[in-house]
Amino acid sequence: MAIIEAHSIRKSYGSLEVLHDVDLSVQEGEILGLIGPSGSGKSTLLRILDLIEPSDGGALSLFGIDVVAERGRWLDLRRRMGMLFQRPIVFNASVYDNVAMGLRYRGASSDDIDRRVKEALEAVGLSRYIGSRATDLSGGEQQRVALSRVLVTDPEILFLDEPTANLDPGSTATIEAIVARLNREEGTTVLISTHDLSQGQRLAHRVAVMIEGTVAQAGSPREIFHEPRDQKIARFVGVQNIIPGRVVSRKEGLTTVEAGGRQIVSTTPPPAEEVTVVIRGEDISLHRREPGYEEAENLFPATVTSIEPTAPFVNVTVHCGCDLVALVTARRAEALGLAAGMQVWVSLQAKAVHLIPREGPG
Amino acid sequence: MIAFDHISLSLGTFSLKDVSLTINRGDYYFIVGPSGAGKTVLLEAIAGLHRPERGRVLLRGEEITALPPEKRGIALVYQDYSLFPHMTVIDNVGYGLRMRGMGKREARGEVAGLLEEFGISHIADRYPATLSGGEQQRVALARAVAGKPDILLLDEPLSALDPVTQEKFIHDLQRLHRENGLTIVQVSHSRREAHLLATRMAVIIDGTLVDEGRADVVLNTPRSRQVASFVGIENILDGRVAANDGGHATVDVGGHAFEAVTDAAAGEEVTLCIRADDVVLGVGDGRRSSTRNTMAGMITQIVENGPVAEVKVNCGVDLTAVLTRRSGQDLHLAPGTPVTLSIKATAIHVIRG
Repeated sequence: MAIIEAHSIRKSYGSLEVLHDVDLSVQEGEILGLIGPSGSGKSTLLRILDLIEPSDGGALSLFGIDVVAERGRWLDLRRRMGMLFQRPIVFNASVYDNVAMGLRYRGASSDDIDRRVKEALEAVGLSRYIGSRATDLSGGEQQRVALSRVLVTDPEILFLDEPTANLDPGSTATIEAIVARLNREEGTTVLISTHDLSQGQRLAHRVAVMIEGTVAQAGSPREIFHEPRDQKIARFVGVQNIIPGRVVSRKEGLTTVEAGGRQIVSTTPPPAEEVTVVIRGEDISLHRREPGYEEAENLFPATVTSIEPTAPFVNVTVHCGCDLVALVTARRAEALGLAAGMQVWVSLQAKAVHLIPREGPG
Repeated sequence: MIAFDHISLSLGTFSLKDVSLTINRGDYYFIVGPSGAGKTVLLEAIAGLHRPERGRVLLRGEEITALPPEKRGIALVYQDYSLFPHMTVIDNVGYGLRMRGMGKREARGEVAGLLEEFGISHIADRYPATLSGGEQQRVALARAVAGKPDILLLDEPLSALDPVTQEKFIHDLQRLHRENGLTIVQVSHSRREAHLLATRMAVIIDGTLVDEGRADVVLNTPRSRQVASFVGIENILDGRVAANDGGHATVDVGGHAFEAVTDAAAGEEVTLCIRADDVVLGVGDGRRSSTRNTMAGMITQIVENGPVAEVKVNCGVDLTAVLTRRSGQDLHLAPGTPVTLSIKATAIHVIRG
């Protein structure tokens, strides 16, 4: 069942159009990752879905209720949802009072507040700080206080707006584990905006990509990261190889494309005659000599033209008619003894080669 | 260029404790540490925004502990850019020059080249609210260097940027450092940024400087278990040296022998640090290898993380190897697969004591 249904959502601030034609459906109990460049409208969309501010147009249904028609029910609906922001907002009071605040506004009894605050702090691993002043805690701990203040109200939908952008890797892992557990054990629906692509892949059941104020593609992490719909999405999700090509044949379930004089085989049915070939760098393997056995349909010699460390990996550019960038571990690069000018063999599975219609320069 | 000599200062309940460090001219110096460790306080202390209670701050060879920020000739860029919302891009960038008495037209002429250099000429007449995060960050950086400082302080300049913009900005920073001869001090909690940008770095945890030195040394041969954990070393094992033959030690870790290069004597407690990308994984349990540390085990978990597969293996002790997802698929890896791990003795960093 869709717990959020948004159609043709629009939003402008003055003359600046921030959202247009946003269509999004979120199923109950799923984690949806919202990714996109800075300024693509992720935060604005979350604020509209959380009823913090209204859209300028379009249809929005939450829990099956048409919220455009039923403005009078916004407070009740808001209380079924919770939002965590990038920068934790904590009050200059004890951790206990910070977390209890939402329940006090809802008129909960002191026994109920006491029990639920303790449970919420236990859930985020902050029980020992219950009497501490929230503003004295570290950034990661303050973010967990803010999260427990949201969790204590038992939200059915949890919105997370770049919740770990300012946190160190350890604090990030803690927040991610809490969110995953909440979804798994309580069935909470989660929408998380992030510019950490790996986080989107790790946490989300589905991912929606926002580009220039609209949802450009939504699907499984595999679809988004391996089968982007267009070049802009491909660039944003970190595809290293975006190459113009032309379909030359299709037989036995394989499409052959010519790109820079090199024929590359793909399992994608031809979307057009003129195509763009999309290949992730980590899907390309490099070998010192022709592999004796290899399951890859694409196997050809190439010359290393550049090696660029990107920590902890190395981007290796090879020329084989067209230029390809392979992502290999530093250890693998060392073992292969890679150097500019070196001859190598490239292997690439046909299923790792995705084809999209050519859009022209861009 | 910049030296902290036993600096201590308190802010509310937080305190920097007896911090000593040296930043040389031309360094790209990183200050890293967990959230709340005191990284930004340290940066602000360099800028002169906090007065130490104890210790001395030296700048360009002179003590400047009590010198106010505006007289230090240091530029500071905050994570949230802090652009003036009512000024256009070109006026934001020229603001410092105007404050020094330069006329508006002259200041605009002066910064035109800078706008070109930072690729923001086309947005010169726009206001900050209409710019993307990456554009705002470029404007903030151009404004910071317009006054030609020789020291630039950056507080988490990349954390609010999306990955595509981050990559471009990293190239901007590398160019700025290389071409302008600036000394740059950057606060970050990203190990990847440190790998790509830092020449030297300090690790600060709970207000205390726990490691400092050349970036590759701190990242690969950390001084303590705590630092090893923070810089992201995936395999950290406690053990005891069983024997040492001319620097080639055998270390007992829970009944399993690891060979490593160290001066630690027999009986000494040590911690072994092994980067996951130094753990070579082969399928099968009988693989021959000339590598000193070769052990059979079984995969317990595979965590896919972007382009990477982190493979957890139990071979008596738990170890993590990392490879590209494609390699994991080629090897048909799955939980329960028997594998052999090999680790060069020289790839193991030994922390003594």
